[in-house]
Amino acid sequence: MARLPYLDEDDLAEKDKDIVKRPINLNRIIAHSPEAAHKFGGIGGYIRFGSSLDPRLREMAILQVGYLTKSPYEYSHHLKIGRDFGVAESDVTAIETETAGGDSGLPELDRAVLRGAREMTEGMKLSDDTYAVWAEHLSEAHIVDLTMVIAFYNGVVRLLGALEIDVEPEYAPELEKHPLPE
Amino acid sequence: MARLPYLGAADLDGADKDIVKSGMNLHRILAHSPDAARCFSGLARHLRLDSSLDAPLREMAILQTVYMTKSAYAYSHHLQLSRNVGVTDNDVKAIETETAVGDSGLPDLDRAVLRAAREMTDERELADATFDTLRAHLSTAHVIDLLMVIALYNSAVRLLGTLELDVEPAFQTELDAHPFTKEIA
Repeated sequence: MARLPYLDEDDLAEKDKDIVKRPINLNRIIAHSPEAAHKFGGIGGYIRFGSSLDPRLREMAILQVGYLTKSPYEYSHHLKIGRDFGVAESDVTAIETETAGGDSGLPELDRAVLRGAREMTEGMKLSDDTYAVWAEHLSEAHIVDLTMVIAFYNGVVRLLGALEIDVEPEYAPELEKHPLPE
Repeated sequence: MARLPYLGAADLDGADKDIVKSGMNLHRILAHSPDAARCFSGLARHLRLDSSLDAPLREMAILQTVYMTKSAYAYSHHLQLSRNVGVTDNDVKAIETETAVGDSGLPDLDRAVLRAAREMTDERELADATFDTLRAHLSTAHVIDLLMVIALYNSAVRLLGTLELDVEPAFQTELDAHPFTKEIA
């Protein structure tokens, strides 16, 4: 069980009920601080619906962060969300391969996005080689957005882990199909 | 130099000029994606200005996170911001001591806040004892705000590091006064 009780609409003031309109466990926990939840959701919402960054690449970056940090909640959710935005089964396998140091055969930019996510997650920065590939393919706005995606999800996995937020039953099958490394 | 050019008000559309009002390098880079800049600053500002979480505790958590991750930019800025809300030089030394696994003599809650920042930064989780101390002293809303601060600054240091933001001269003096210790550097 999570470290704080999950909240529902009934627990929240009228103006805050929208926080749990999508009643995933993350939203039900951060609703304990409604304004923070709104602002936090503002970043997530921008990333998913506001940015014009290629959605499949964005989800690949998010999956790479979740896989590398072994975050069952983040990874299970984005296996499903990623599929909705064009991430193929072979892309998920590619993330496993690239994390293990292999060459997945993905295009150069895809590989640089995954490598960038790993570099930022582990070293808090990006190598010149990786950045050069980003800069060759992406606009300045998209470079900022991609950097923010990877940075933000490094925060998300920590919030999820610190609060021990449970994977919902409807997302658990995702992990059975694509288990995290030991 | 940073990896992208720093923007000024003259580079931005009317409605976006407010993004660089602070003149901070962070905002001048994020302004390449104005809506991204707005939502990111929205959460940061909320946690700093609107949350009722104790301000010195919040800044201690931030300082611990950015000290551990050696983010010169974030550390220099928050040395100054934290002083403005009452964090003392002794507190800054305490963070160095606690990072080196010493006992700074700070009260239980302060030490638990620093430990939480280290655990979340390094392990991405919290020990039971750490969480229990936080929960004994803080409301559920403040627990969320505190953990969100630590999470957000784990994001911020990656953004700053990746885009290679330069410390502004006005903040360099903070780093000169409080360099990262050898163990950290």
